[in-house]
Amino acid sequence: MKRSIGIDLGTTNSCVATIDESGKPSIIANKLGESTTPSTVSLRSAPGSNGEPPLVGAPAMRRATTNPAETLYGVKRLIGRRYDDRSVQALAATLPYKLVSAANGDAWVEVLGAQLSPPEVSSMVLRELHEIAAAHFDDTVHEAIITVPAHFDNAERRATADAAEIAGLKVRRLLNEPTAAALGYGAHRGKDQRLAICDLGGGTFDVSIVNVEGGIVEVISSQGDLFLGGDDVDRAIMQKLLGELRSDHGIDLSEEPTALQRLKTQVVQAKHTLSEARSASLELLHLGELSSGKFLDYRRTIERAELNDWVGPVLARLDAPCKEAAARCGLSPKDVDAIVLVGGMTRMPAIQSRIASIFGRPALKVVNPDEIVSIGAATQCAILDGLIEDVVLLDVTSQALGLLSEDGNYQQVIPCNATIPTREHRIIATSKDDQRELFFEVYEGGAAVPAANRQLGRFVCRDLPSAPAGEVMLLVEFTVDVDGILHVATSELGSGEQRELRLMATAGLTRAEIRRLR
Amino acid sequence: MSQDRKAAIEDFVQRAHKVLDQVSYYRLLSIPATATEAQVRAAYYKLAASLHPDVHGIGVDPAYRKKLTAVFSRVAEAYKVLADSTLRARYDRELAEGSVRIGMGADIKKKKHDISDASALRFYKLGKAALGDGDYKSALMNLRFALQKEPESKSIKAALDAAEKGNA
Ligand SMILES: Nc1ncnc2c1ncn2[C@@H]1O[C@H](COP(=O)(O)OP(=O)(O)OP(=O)(O)O)[C@@H](O)[C@H]1O
Ligand SMILES: [Mg+2]
Repeated sequence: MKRSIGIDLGTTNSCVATIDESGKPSIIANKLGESTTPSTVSLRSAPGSNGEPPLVGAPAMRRATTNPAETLYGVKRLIGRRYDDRSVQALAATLPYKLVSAANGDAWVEVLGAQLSPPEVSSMVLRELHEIAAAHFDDTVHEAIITVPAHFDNAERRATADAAEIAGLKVRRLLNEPTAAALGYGAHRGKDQRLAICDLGGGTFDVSIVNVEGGIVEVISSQGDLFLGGDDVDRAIMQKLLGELRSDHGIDLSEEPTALQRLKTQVVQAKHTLSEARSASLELLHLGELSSGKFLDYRRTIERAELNDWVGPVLARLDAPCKEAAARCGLSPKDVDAIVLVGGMTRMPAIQSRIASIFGRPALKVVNPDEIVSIGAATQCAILDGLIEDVVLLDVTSQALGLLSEDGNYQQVIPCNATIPTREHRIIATSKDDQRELFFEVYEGGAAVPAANRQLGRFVCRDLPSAPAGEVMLLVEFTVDVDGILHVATSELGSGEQRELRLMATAGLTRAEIRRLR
Repeated sequence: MSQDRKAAIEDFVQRAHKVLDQVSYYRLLSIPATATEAQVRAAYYKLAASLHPDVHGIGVDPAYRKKLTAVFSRVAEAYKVLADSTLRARYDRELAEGSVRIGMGADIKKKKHDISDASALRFYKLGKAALGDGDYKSALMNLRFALQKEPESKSIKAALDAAEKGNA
């Protein structure tokens, strides 16, 4: 039988699910029996050196304390990005591993003296998930549906698909996370309604308004805060405790990476405990040196009320994206029929009540908020296999796409928020007599001038027939497929002859690089 | 999916594709100009449920799939415009001036052409759009009209040339 899986490739955690013969989805647990696997990779030998293979998941996380420069986490924030991107630069300052600029300007990482592309790092996580699934089936996996944030642009989507290819997985579809969450929650089986999907993960907060009507699932707006998540909660707790250590014990841990990492591990643990219990205790023996020369055995009990107090500023940042997402489709948050919570961080009671107060109603009960997205991806496998009928997902493009022709004329070809798949064309013409080559460039972004947008590629069409200026015309076709990835094709107007396009410059990995890495 | 339904959808796609640049969004969605937002959405969802390539695009030949995608995306565009009161008001104005697609007037204006006569420009636009769809007959007709109105235009002549080559 054909084995298909759904993968939620998260910033912090990843999760894999499958469907049975009837199309019913279920999570595949990893070797440790856990439903999610940390998206962390720790390298034990230089990449490509044939040394010890990288560790992935919980074992990799444990190496973060001892080998921070070789332990890569949160790579999803780098994938498909450029090194000089402002958000990448801001990130670089906070990461314990090193970022570098690749020859084409992409953001890469440097580990053990070798440079590594983010798709390669993500491919290690995907390979692990692939193996988890293969062990579960005792069979090979054929295809995967992988989820990506709704705001991912072309380069980020392509880089994610490249990661899968390097991992030996055939990508059946890239699916937007909120759409997957709606399916994972079972929206397609329920009554007609408008849902707000609120996803608070490790590093990002996404809110989407989804309309469900007679089997159609349409995301009508998506908003988010790219820098709001569990990491901010962790940071708030850390700051509080580090302040206490300074004032109560005269200990400054800010320059002690190992001690900081130990404290962080227990802080995250306590945060999780406080979602269930009223209080949680930390115990760290020999955490730091006191002025007396003795070592501090640090013990601290945190009450849930204290935690809620510390994270007040984080909670306040949930409001704007929710209101904006509703406003974008002409609604007030109170007009939404139901709320679905997604992401591990929504397990925190204070987060739940904040979101409930924004929308004026409690969220629907979801058992495992960190599994919904991958369950939704697996459900999409069932839809594409025809096991679930009469359900259609309507997704949209996240960015506008434009064409710059040789004469400097820039025109938008596909708008942002266009339903996919979508196809559009423009006509460009030669500007000189007997011109045999025609160049054009493709950009992504909503600005009216190309310089303010991101260049996706520079193309050239060669061997044009010789003719007076303006007489040779090319039809340039943009197709954004169901994955949200752009394909460009040209043909000569008149003759209709398909024209081979040569890509002159582009972001991301080349085909040859991907083949070599497989 | 039943064979009958498949055939009906295919028939719709073929017919709609031929006239994509000649029919209004209302015609495309088969709704009256007075349709409410709920009616617009209902019409769109009904069409989308048939036309979405996930439902109807599996195993079809690439040429047909291209047409399907073009029709599907125009149907989605129609919905996006008609379900938004601001865009719809703007579209209704443009439609009254003979433009069946929103923003197309503005778009051509930005492009370089040497046409000053308004009706020549309109036929030129229609001709170029038909050219883009490979509908050379309609392109020829529109471009010849355009040339009658403005016989000196190089842009029209060039487009007409391309249409004649295509039609040959
Ligand atoms: N029981 C819990 N209580 C509170 N927080 C939790 C709990 N379980 C997990 N978290 C937090 O949820 C966050 C991870 O959530 P999730 O796994 O959904 O993220 P992700 O999908 O990898 O990230 P993103 O959506 O940003 O890509 C972490 O900050 C983690 O500490
Ligand atoms: Mg997530």
